[in-house]
Amino acid sequence: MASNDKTIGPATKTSPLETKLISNKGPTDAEITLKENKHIGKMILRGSLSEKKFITSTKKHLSQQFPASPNSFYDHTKVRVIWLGPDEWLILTDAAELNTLKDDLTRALIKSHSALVDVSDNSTIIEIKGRYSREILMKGCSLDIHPSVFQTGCSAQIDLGLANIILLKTADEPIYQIIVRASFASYLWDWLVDAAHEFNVRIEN
Amino acid sequence: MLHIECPWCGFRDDAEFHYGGEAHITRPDPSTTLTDEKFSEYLFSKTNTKGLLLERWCHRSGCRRWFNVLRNTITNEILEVYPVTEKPSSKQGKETYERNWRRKSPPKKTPKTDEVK
Repeated sequence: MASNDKTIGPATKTSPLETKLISNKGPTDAEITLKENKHIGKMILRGSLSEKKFITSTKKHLSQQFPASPNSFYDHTKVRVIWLGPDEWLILTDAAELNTLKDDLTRALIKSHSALVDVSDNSTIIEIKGRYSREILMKGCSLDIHPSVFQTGCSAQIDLGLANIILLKTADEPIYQIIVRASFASYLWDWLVDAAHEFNVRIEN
Repeated sequence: MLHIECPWCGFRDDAEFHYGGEAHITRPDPSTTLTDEKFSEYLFSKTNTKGLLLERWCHRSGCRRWFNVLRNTITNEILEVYPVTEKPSSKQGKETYERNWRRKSPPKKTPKTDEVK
């Protein structure tokens, strides 16, 4: 899901962290790296798993792995599907691909009792990387995120600091993605920078 | 701090949850026969149970789903967690359900609910 600057939809042009004037700073061998993953399209999909039509249509576009098991996510080509509830999923894709996927899914789900809503500007994604990233998250999160429990492919909806987030473990290395509401993004960024202060932190644009 | 087991997300701190009061209380039918007394009884009269209580909780910070809990209000021990659409299945849960003076209808057989495959 690399960002593609050429074909960004109007909805994802701005970032809620724009006022932070994020630019590269900090040592290159830093133990913590913070950055914002921009230009990611987001959609909320809702529907009942007891409806056969809904299952078959979604499986066709979001792979056979659908529905993800509770508190997990999976990647399928350029799409990431995150479980949010027994009848609710968050779909992430490159902003450039969003409209195509949205049209495809809308067409496929036309006769099923479901809802697909573009929520791209509802939230943003902050990535925290480095050997102390878990220690930083532990400062404001009550969940056990030790790698033996919170493994790659796990997701959790939880409070971090005072913000409600979706936490993803995207790789075996200590990398976490934090999906946070746009209105909380600025607060959470400051919180993370502050929490990372005691470590060797690098901020990437 | 209470440690509540959400049916979807597992054990989480009670700060993540929203309390919904006593479970299995039927909201009166807002028909013409509904009096102010009847509705205020539904709204304001609480059992103030000392002991086992069936109550509703919502996992506000997580999956945002409602579920029912059988909790001992003296020891804060949680004995059972079950879906909102169902009746308690444990012995103590069934007894608590039968005992409730606010429950007007007789206990029904557990209806089949949507299961996640």
